[in-house]
Amino acid sequence: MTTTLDDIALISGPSARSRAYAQRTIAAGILPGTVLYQPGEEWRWDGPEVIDVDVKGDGNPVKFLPNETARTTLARADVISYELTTAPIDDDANLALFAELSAEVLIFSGYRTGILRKAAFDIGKRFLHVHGGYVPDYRGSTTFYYSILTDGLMGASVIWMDSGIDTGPVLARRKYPVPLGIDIDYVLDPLVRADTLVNVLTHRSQTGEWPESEHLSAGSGETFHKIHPVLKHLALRRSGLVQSGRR
Amino acid sequence: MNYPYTGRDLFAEPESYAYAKCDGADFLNEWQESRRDAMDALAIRARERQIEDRTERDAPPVDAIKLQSLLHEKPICIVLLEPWIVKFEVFGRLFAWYRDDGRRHPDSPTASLATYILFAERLCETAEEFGSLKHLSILLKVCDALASQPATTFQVDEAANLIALLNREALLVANIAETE
Repeated sequence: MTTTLDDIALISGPSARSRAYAQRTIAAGILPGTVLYQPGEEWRWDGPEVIDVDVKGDGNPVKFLPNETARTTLARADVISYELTTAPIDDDANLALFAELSAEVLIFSGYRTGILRKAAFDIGKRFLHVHGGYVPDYRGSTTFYYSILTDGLMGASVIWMDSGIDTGPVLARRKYPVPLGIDIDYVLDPLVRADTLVNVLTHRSQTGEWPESEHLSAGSGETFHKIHPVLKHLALRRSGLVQSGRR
Repeated sequence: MNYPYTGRDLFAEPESYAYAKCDGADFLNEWQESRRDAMDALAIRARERQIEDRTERDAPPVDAIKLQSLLHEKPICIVLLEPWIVKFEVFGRLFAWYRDDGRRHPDSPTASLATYILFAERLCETAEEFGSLKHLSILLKVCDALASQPATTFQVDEAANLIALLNREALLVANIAETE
């Protein structure tokens, strides 16, 4: 049985993350009431067409089809859709469209999803973002790689967006093992975020309520910047994606 | 393929490190070789005689705060280091003088190589003391930019300081690589 959450709109881009969100929410029997497609050329994956990933490390792998676009997945489910004419979420034209929607909550999954300008918070909607890191320990950019090197784990946090970097109230956060040999940027990152999102949407679907959010101090934890390639290389080696070179 | 992040003047044209291709098996070796080449050139420079007196070069206006003076404070506080980290990450460069509101002084030149070396030393100390990968990551970027400069642009003492710094950087990276 599938439940449609009419008060939720998914902002979908031509990205692996949007594909993972679409595929995993539908697999969980949940649909957004509306989908808003960002413009842009669809990304193409050169690896296997179907990937089985044990995201939670519990022996129950999930299937991911990296080349199946979110449009394809959501069109099969007849989700109402709109085309955005410009990518930045807080562009005036997009905010005007969002304001007219009946959906009260907009889930980010596309691109150009950095800090929102103040006008975005004045349209009477809430923005839900899944950050690829366990906050507050891992705020900011490329935190997967930092946490792989430090803890041997990945993380994701579902956040009500505010004006800071990953500082909004947290609805759910979770840590995940790192299965060896699975691409991080285009497979693990999207699937880990999708899994945490599905947990939140399942709660919303079953109870009619959003999980109680945690307010973590903006000053706590650490905000990271784009990881240097040498450290990223070491994280890829630790994830079984690169062999050690000549000594 | 050679290490790709020191091939141009990174202070003049900062590197974004977006979509970094670093999955080659020899990437780490290429980085190490690049750093060894830089240290070899700096070692030649460090053996030369001092040729320039810089005592007046960085004199700031009265309403300016000198970044080098802030970075000289010891022990450096992580919180006080943070604004300079953010500026370097966002703009890829620092300036010599700032106003007390944190903005660059309008008359300021860009930071000197000595200031960047000092900034890198503070990052290195933080990475060493706290095992901070965040600070190591930024240290690697600052060292890329320093290694992108011709060795002859450094003063003799700066060249010696930078060699010492690059050795400490190498040790920090080796410690992570060895834990695999």
